[in-house]
Amino acid sequence: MKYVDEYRDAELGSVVSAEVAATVDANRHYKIMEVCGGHTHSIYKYGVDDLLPPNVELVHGPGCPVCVIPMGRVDDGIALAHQENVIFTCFGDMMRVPGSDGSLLEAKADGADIRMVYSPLDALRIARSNPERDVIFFAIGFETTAPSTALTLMRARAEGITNFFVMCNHVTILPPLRALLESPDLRLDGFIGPGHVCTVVGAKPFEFIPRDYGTPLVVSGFEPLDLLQSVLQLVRQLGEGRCEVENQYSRLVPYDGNPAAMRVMAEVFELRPHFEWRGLGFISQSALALSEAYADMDAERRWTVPGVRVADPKACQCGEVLKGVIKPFECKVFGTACTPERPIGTCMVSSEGACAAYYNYGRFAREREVV
Amino acid sequence: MSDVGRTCELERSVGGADRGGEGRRPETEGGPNPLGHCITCSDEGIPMRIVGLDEERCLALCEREDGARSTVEILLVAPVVLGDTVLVHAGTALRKMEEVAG
Repeated sequence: MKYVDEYRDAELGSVVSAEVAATVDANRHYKIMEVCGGHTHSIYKYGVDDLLPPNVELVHGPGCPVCVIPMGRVDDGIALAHQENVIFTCFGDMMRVPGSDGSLLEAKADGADIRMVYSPLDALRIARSNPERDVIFFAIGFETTAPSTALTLMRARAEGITNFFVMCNHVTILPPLRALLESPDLRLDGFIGPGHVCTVVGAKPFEFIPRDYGTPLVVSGFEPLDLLQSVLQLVRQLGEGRCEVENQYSRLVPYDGNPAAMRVMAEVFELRPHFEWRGLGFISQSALALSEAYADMDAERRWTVPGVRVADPKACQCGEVLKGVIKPFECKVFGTACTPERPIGTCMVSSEGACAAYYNYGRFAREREVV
Repeated sequence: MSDVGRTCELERSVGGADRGGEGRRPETEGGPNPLGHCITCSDEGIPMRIVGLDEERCLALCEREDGARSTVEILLVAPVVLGDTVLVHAGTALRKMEEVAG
């Protein structure tokens, strides 16, 4: 397919790979974080890391929306799902995320009417065809997904649908990146920027990273050649002493973002004063809630949720994995007590989670890992 | 036919396509995903071709490379025409492909 095949070309891949090898300084170690879970997934699916020189290390960032959801929010969702006359809808992987007392999937087995959807539009369709029931959509995702939720709420309003509600867990990518950069745990040489978030917000909001923290960032696409090219652009910047935001994904990312998407988000959402991230703790202004104009469709206002903060299981080291401090296999329970079938931590649940990506694509060649 | 009628038609055809495509989707909720995509947020962005349009309601019927179809919000990329390729994420087209000069 056009726009896909040409970015998976093996010959070109080996050319770019050789160019990376020729560009890197052999005496230097490069630690590059891919922010987005979609990138983590692509890197292991296509074995991109095997095409890089051994002194280029990729670490995984906090960009998987499922992975960063804290347990307390799952508990809140389950409480809503158990309300009378409610149909609770959410994306598939979210159903398996463990709360403090079981997952949504287990709540479904206990009799709650919980249904998997592929988009907020699917949830609205369920509301339309079940006018006598209240339908709640568990909204998660970064700026990429937030416009979908916003458009669906606007559509529900325009159609006069009154039985559609949203439990909003949308998060924004910049505050956790700032938190990571402020953290003393981690020294990074560069970022692979989240391509699809940037189709919405553009590359411009990331300018503070090179400016304030001296770390270059390349906004990247998701095909193997995109990722190789982005690594090449980063090591070139580092070699030439440049430090800036570059846009490798220019076939889709406008530098200033999508103004229509920003407008609908501004109408439907407002910033929460603070939000808890798994492993990262509370980060101020890092998540979205429904604005006053859409308060009547806010599930958290319509029903009462427990809102209890639950500590992560002690054995689980998702926090360190999300910050790129440890590799998934360095976690004590990786692949033993914690597997995609029976996850303890969120990173093992979603296929965008770093642990699941390692697990699924057999990343056990630990001697390859240079820390 | 009224606009509402047209919409219903579009949605019905989409519903049918969804069912048709289900074999390629996870067979059990939360089970392994044969697409290898993240089903949490309906994957990263997927390039899809527009095969049906309801401009009035800003909805399009879109087809993926493997033939699976779904209804997609097109407000953020309007105007589009039949045959355009758009990048779709969680049921919303985020960009018209080829829109940005390289």
